Amino acid sequence: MRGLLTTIDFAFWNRVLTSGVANMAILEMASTHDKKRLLELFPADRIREAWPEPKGTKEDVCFSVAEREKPEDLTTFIAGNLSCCKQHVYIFDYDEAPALTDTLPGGERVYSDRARTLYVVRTRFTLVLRNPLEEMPIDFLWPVEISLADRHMVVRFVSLEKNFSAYLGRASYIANRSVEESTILSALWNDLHLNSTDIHKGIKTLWENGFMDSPRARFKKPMSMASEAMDEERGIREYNPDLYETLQDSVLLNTLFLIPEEAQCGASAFSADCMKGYLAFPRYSEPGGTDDVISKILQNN
Amino acid sequence: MTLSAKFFKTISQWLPAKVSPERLRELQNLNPQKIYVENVRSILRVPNVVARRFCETAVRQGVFAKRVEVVCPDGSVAASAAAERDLPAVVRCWTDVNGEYEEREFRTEALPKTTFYQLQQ
Repeated sequence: MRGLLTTIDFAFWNRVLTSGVANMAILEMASTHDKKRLLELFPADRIREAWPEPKGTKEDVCFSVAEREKPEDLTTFIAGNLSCCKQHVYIFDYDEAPALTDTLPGGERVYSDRARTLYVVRTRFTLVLRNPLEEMPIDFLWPVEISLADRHMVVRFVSLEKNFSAYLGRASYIANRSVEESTILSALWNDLHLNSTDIHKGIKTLWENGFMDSPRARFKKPMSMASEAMDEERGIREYNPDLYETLQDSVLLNTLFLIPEEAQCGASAFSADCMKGYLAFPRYSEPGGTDDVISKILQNN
Repeated sequence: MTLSAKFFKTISQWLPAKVSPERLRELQNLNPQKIYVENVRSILRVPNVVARRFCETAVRQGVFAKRVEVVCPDGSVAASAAAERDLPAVVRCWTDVNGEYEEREFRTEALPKTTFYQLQQ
């Protein structure tokens, strides 16, 4: 059943994207390894459902798909499955819908419709490897999506792999990175004059309603920054009601939330830095899971 | 009789006469589900070895249950069990990487363990 749904999703996105596909030079010119690393950012089950033929490890399947699939098929897959990726999300307010550009620093638009624009950005990590000492560049094609709705602009960055030894088989550290999230956000701020959305109200309402609970909170006290990490992922609302009362009236800094299965949301965990309008999804999600969380926060904000 | 009242009654019998009523009240206020040797030591103001003996005596008397927990690198607890062999072989811990939460797996045998006590029902 799940495979059938995915097939339908895939066909749906194929149709939808026919009219929205933009310039894809960045994907056309990409090497097989670049495209393989791009695919590896997505959950293995989504890749296997989209392309059931190649067998083997996730790495094998990604290489095979990267080698043979056309850029428009990759764009279709990215657009249809970006919500499943580990990702960082920034939410901004706007009064008038801003006009989005065709390019971002290091990247270009590969798809757009009335609701969202998908970019792929090339970012280069310069790594220093040990044993023997060596410097090596490694490029990532990095999906970035911007959506506009109800006076909110939502910018999503797919999380990139930080453990480069998985790619290189050797210990390494990052000496430099050509395009960071801050590079792209600065460009958007300068072009569009954006303000971060304070999401305290939406987050605290969902917390109070029981949609989620937090095992880890950082928060502001009058004269200090405080943090709480509950044992065995117990929720503060359920197991530490006194602290919960305090937190409901406090500025929440980076706070982790777990969503129980009963909530029937495709996402199981996210963190929020409320004043910055920032969310991070540290786990893969089911299709639509991250969309559901973002939408619920904004509806209650 | 409530758990805390049972705890209070039991420990009152074992404590030296010089312990003040304030300290007894502090002991009574301990969370009966998680009592560390250090909690007992600091309230009674006795050496660690004495507090440990107090807790072990309580286990033998059937007042306390002894448990063990596996501790993540940041000090939070990943899992607990009645004995070390009952802990899962692998646990997941949230770690802070440059201000971002990341979930990582650790082998339980590689992480420190802490003993704690629970007041028996």
